[in-house]
Amino acid sequence: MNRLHPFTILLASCGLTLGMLLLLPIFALLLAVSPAELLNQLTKTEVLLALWITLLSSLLALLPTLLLGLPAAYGLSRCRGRLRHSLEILLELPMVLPPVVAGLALLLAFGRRGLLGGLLAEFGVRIPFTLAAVVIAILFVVSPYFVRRCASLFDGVDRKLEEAARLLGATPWQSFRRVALPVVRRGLFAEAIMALAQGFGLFGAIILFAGNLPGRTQTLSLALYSAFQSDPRQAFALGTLLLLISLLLLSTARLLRPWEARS
Amino acid sequence: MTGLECCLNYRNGSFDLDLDLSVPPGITILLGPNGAGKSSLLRLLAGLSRPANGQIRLGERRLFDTERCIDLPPEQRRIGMLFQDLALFTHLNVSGNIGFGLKLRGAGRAERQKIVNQLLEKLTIAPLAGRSVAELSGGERQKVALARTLATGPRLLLLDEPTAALDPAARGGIRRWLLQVLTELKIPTLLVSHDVEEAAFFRKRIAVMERGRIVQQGSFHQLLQAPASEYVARFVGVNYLSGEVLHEADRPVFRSRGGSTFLAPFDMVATGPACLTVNPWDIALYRQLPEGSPRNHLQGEVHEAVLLGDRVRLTLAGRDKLVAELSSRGYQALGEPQPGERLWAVFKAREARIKNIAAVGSAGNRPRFLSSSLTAGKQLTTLETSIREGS
Amino acid sequence: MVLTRLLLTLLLMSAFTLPAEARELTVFAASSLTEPLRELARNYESGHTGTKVLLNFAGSQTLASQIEQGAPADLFISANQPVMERLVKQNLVETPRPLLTNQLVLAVRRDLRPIATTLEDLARPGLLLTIGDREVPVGRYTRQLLTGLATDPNCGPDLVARIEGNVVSEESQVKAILTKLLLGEADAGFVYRSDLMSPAANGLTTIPLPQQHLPRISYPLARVRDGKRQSGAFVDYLLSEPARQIFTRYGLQLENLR
Repeated sequence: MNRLHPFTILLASCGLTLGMLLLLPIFALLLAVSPAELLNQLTKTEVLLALWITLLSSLLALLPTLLLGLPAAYGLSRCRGRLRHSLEILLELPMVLPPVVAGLALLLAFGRRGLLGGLLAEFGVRIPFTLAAVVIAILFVVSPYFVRRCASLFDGVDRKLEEAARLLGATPWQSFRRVALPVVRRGLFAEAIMALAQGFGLFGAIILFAGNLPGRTQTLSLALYSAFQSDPRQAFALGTLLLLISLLLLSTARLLRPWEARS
Repeated sequence: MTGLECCLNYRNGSFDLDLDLSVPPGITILLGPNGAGKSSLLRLLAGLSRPANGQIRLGERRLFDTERCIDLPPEQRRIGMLFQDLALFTHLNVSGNIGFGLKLRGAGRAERQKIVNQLLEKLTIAPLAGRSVAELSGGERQKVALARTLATGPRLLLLDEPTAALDPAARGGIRRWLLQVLTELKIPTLLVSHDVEEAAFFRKRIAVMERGRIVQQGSFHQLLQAPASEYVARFVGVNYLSGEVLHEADRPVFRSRGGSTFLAPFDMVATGPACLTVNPWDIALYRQLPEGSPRNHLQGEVHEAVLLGDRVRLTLAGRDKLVAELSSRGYQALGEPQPGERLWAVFKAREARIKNIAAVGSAGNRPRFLSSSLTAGKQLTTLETSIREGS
Repeated sequence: MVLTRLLLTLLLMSAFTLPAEARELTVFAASSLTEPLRELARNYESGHTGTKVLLNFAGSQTLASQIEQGAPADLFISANQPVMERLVKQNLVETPRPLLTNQLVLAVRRDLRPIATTLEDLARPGLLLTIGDREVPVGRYTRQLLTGLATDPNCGPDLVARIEGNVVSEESQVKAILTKLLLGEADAGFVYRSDLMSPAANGLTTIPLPQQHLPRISYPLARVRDGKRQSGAFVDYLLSEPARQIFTRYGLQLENLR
């Protein structure tokens, strides 16, 4: 398009303004920390431990998110009318809870005195203050978003394709596996990466439910909080670290995408 | 018997379907206006929708039977269906699409390859094997879709307007090719169409559906000769006037809704609601009403005149609307009448056909395939005679 | 298959700890005590081989909620008196003892021009002052101080009113006040003396405050009722002379009561 329509200019200006608004603080953060400081952080054991816990817990949370979330999202997308409305409202409930309240709710459910936790304690199983708690906290906060977004993806699958598959002999499960899933594969991948990234930044629910135990439950965001308590400038460095890791994750996702699209 | 027999009742809001249909091996065309329920019928047969009650039998197998609580899911019905938009899998290439059903069955790679190749050969699309679906032309996609459907060896084929999306030039070729392939297979096939050329091409067996009911079944010739409804008549291009048969001065006449009076062979017709059909090519047009033999005539204004090659289809609107078809030479001889000009339409009594229409709501439900000669209803003749004698 | 088994084992190992690891002590402490307690814990561990001290740092409220829900803490050190009292009322902890004291200070940027050296300077128009909000201890202490100053004939309500007029923000964390000062978003702020020990406080100096109005800032320590008995040794260590020196380095005073 050669013509510079006034509307195009409007679009560009909106994009630019929003871009600056979003990118400026990020650049400011990156500039506030020198590479030397950043490297210095990476040599500290607490930071490396926190990094390890963050990656491990996010990946472990990703598994049930996918295994439970995908069929749930598909089921949701196949519902209609009032049933769908009710289910969506149920799904939105965890989303509107502030993270601290979410953490408290998790304690009330799984804590030693909690609904389920009390029962589990009889068998010697304790969940709070363990890595499992971090995973559950991430799962609790992240999976509703994941399910809702994946349900939208499945909504976009042409029903005719699945009907064609059924007529060719596919059971509902086979139709899901061989038609619906492959069609939304790219979008699913993006959502999985998103879920992973969301887990990285989680704070409120984790510190309340899983505690701030270095080497066990202290994720990078918790380590950031602790660093802030001793020296706020340290927190900048960790914040930058967190930012760079997310950047790395998102870039890797983009690089892997063409591979996904191939098959 | 490997044909399809079904008897269904289905309700969907304001729309309801109530019919009885049998589809023997070979191609049966399913016609009907939009909203008649053709696609719904296909979906019911395929198992994608559920009838309120009824039964569907394919050969020996019962696919659906309310009394025996049988309702096979689509994947078990062994029915092949071609959707209007084909629904090809975009995440698989051509071979992948065709072999999809085979893979589901657990067929090994070699076996799949063999059958896929056979089909590719048969449908002359062998070079397309590895291509992506998006690269294909309309006709090629049609063939791939059909190959995919045939790969699993279905016992019944449902084709939903298979040529609708193609441009007219391609349609003829696909039609011939469909006829060849489907005739070879000898499985019952129900082909939904909107195209009169298509109905004329697959002329042997046609079922017409209107508002959820089957209104006529027969060959194209039968439809032409005795269209059962205005839609059928319009579809095959025959004039259709509704009205009633009355007795006037001791003899039966046909009074159309528009108020015109016409004569026709009244042999097997009783008084009451009736319809009169006459072929457009049996109607002659005149500027002045000619003297001579008592013939049916109607005066009207030219509504439109469409030139189709060497023929002209002229619509005349007076008390009733009639379509006349004449050669372009004849049209010229008339002085090429334009819309608005007044003409007379004339046709012989024996060229018209009259049929009683059943009262609204009854019959039309279980018509069987009619034979081409209307068997004389002796009772009807007797009735007419008694009426005459009685008046 | 092997990978799955490995993953599962890893998960189980790190996820579920069997209770009553006898040599493990869990200490819940306010996050403002992060640095001194970390150092003390390391020292204690090297002195008592086989014992592990698990430190859980968070806001005092968060820690109290966790204890209310049956968290496996052995000791609790709070920066917030009412929070500790709440736990006492619910009989979740044994009688607390004061462990540490801190002091409220008035920090001011060294590069502030014109220089501010007295409370009067604090009240001058255009000075940006940051304090803690009503809910956090440092905010409550600050307001206690200001109330006291208002009654002091040397200061008076008018001065206090002018000081309060300079408040530009109320923070929910004391470290946020420090950050604001660091970034130059504020010229002065009420923080703890322990905060001044942080390297981030290099550019700050203090304005002296009248001793008599300084509120008593106490960090109580209590044994959690369901906790282990072994915490006694660690508590003793916390009250020892070497510990006192470490605490002092971080700006905290060890309580002398025994």
